Amino acid sequence: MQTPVIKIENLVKRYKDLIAIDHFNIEIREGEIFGLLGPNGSGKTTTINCILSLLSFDKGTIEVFGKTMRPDSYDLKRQIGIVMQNVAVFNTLTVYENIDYFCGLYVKEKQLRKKYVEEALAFVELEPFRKFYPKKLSGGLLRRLNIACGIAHKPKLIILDEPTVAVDPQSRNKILEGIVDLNKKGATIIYTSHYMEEVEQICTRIAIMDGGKNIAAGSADELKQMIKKSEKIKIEVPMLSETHLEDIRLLPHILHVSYADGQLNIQCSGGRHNLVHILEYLQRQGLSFDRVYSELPTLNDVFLEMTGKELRDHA
Amino acid sequence: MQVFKAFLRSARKFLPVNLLYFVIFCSIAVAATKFNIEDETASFQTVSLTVGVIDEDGSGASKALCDYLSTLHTLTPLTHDREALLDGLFYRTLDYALILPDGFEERLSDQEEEHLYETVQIPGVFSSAFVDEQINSYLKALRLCLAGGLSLDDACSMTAETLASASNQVQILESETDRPADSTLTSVFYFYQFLAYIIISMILTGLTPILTIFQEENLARRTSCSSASLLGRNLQIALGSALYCLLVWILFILTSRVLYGPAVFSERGLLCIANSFLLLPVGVSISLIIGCFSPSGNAINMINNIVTLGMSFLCGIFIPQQILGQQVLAFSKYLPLYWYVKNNDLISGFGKEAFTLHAYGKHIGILALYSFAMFSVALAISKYKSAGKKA
Repeated sequence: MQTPVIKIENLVKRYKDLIAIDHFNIEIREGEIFGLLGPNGSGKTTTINCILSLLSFDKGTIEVFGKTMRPDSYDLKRQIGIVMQNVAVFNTLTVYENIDYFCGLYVKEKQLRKKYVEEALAFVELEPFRKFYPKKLSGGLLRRLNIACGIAHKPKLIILDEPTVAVDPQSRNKILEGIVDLNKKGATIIYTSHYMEEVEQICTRIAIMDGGKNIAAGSADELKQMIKKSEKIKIEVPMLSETHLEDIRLLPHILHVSYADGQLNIQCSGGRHNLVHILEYLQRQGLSFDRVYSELPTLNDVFLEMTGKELRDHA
Repeated sequence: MQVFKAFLRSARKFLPVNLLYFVIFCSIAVAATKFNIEDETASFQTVSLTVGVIDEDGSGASKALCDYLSTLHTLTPLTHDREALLDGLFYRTLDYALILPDGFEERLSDQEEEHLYETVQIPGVFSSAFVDEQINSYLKALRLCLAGGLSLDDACSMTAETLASASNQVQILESETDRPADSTLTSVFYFYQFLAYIIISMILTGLTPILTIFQEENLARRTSCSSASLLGRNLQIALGSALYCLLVWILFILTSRVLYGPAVFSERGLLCIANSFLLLPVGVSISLIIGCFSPSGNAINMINNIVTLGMSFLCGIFIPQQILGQQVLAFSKYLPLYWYVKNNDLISGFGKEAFTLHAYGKHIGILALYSFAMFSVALAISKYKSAGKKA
C-alpha cells in the first residue's frame, strides 16, 4: 500500500482551556487536492501549523512522507511548499528577488534556481512585474507573488492556507486554475478555505472541520450523499390541490413537499431523475407550470445538517 | 547564502538614508570637535579695561597709582561729576571707576588701609576683579617700601619699577595627566569621543530596520518552514550585520584619516580606533534587543534616538564626565558607553586617570562583557518570544 503523504492520528492541540484541535485524524494520499473546509476558528490553520512544526501539540502523531515531522526535519521541509494565509514577502526586495530568495532556501544550484524562478514567474503571470517592489502590487498580484514564493522550488507537497482571502474574483479564478495545474504536474495539494465553492470546485477530497474536529471526509459527492437532503426543486404552478400534493409526496425519493404563493417546493432525499418524475406527473395531470428550478445540495447544506449551523454565517 | 543576500539587498534599500545620516553625523562630529577645542581653556589673553578715574587728591601718590594703572588699562580722567561716572558705567563707555578721595596720599603715608579709595563696578563683570587685584598689589608693594623707610616719592618709583619688571608672562599648566600638545591629536580624541554617538546611531538606524524585517512574524514563520536550518539562517544574518557594522566603522576611520591626517594612526590614535571597534558589538546587541520587539519604522527611529541620545548625555559624550554629577555617573556606570568614554579620556589625558595599559584593557574588557551580556539578553528575548509562538 502506498505511504500517505500526510497521516495525522489523534491530534490534540490545546490553548489553556480551549481545545483548538480535538482528536483530529486525516490521511492525505499522493496526487490529491485535499480540501480542509471549515468556518474561521475551526482549526484549519492550527492543523497546518502543527503539520509544519510551527506549533507544538499536546497529543497525537503527524507523519509527512512516512516520517515524523519535527522543527529540524529539513529533508522533509525540502519537499514541502507553503503558501501562508498572510502574505509573507520582503518589501525591500523586488518580485524577482523575493521568489529567488524563497526558492534559494531550498535550491542551492544557481542555474536551476534561475530556471525555477522564471517558471514560477510565468506560472503566476507576474513577468511584467518582476522589478516591482511588493508595495506597488495590488492585493491580487501580491497573493500571486505569495504563491510563486511557495511553489517555485517545485515541491511534492504544497500547502495553501486560504490563499484567496481578500482577492478579487478574476485573480481568485487564476489562483484556482493554477492550483489545479500544479496538481496535474504531480504535486499533492492541501487547500484550506472557508469558501465552500472553491473547495468544491478544485478538491478531490474534502475534510469538513468544526470546533477542531474532523466531522466528515470524502469527495464532494460522497459528502453530499451523507446527508438526507438532496436535490431542491422549485416549480411555479398556478393551480394545485391538496390531492396533487399527496400524490407528489408518494413519488420516489421525495422527502418534503410544500406549496405556497403558486410555488411548489420539493426536497428530495437522494435518487436520480427526481425532476423528470415530478414533471411527468404534472403533465399527466394536465397541470400547467411556468419556471422550474433545480438546486443540488451544497457543502453548506452538508455542514448545516451535520452541525446545525451555517458554514456561510461563519465565513 | 540566500539570507545573507537578502540582508544585503535590504541594506541597499536603506543606503540613501544611511548616507544622509553619515553626512549629517560627520558634519555634527566635525562641528562639535571644533566647538569643543575652542571652548577648552587652552589660551590666555590679558584684558585691558577702560577705567575712569576721579582724582580728588591730585597728589604725587595718586598720580603715581594712575600712571601705574595706565600701563595696564585705558585710563579716562573724569571730573568730579559722579552722575557722569555712573552714566559711563551704564552705557559701558567705562568698565571700572576709581575714585581717589582727598587725603589719599596722607592716609597712605600714615599706613592706613581703610577708605583709601572707592571703586564703582558693573555688576557681574568679573574682569573688574583684576583691576581690584592690581590696585591691591600696587598698594601692598608701596606699603612695603614705605615700611622699609623710603620716602613716598622713592617708594612710588620703586613700586612702579618693581611691578613693571615683574613678568607678565602666563604659563598655562597642563593637567597632571599627559594631555597632548598637538591640537590635531586633540581633534582626533574629540572625533572619537563623538564617534560613539555617531556609530551607535548609524548602527541602530541602519541595522535595526533590517533585523526587524527578518524578525517580522509572517516572514519568520514562512522562512522557518523552509529547508534552510535555523543556525544557518542566523549565522547569515550575523554575517550581514557584522559586514554592515565593519563598513560603517571603516568608513568613519577613513573619514577621520581624511580630516585629521596621519595623527589618526599615531600610537594614541590607534588606541582610540581599537576602543571604537568595541562599539560595534555594543551597537549590534542593542539593535538586536530593539529588533526583538519588531517595532514599526517610526517607533524604531524614536527608540533609536532615545537610546543613543540618552546614553550619550549620561555617559559623557556631549558633556565631559568630569563635570557630570556623581549620581549621574553612578547610574551611567551601568551603561556601556560610560566605559568607552572613560577609555577615550584615558588615552587622551582628558580624564583624571593616568594612562596605563592595564586600565585601558580593563575598560575594553568591560565593554566586551556588556556586549556579551546584551547579546545574551537579545537571544533570551528572541527564544522566549519564539517559544511563546510555538506553544
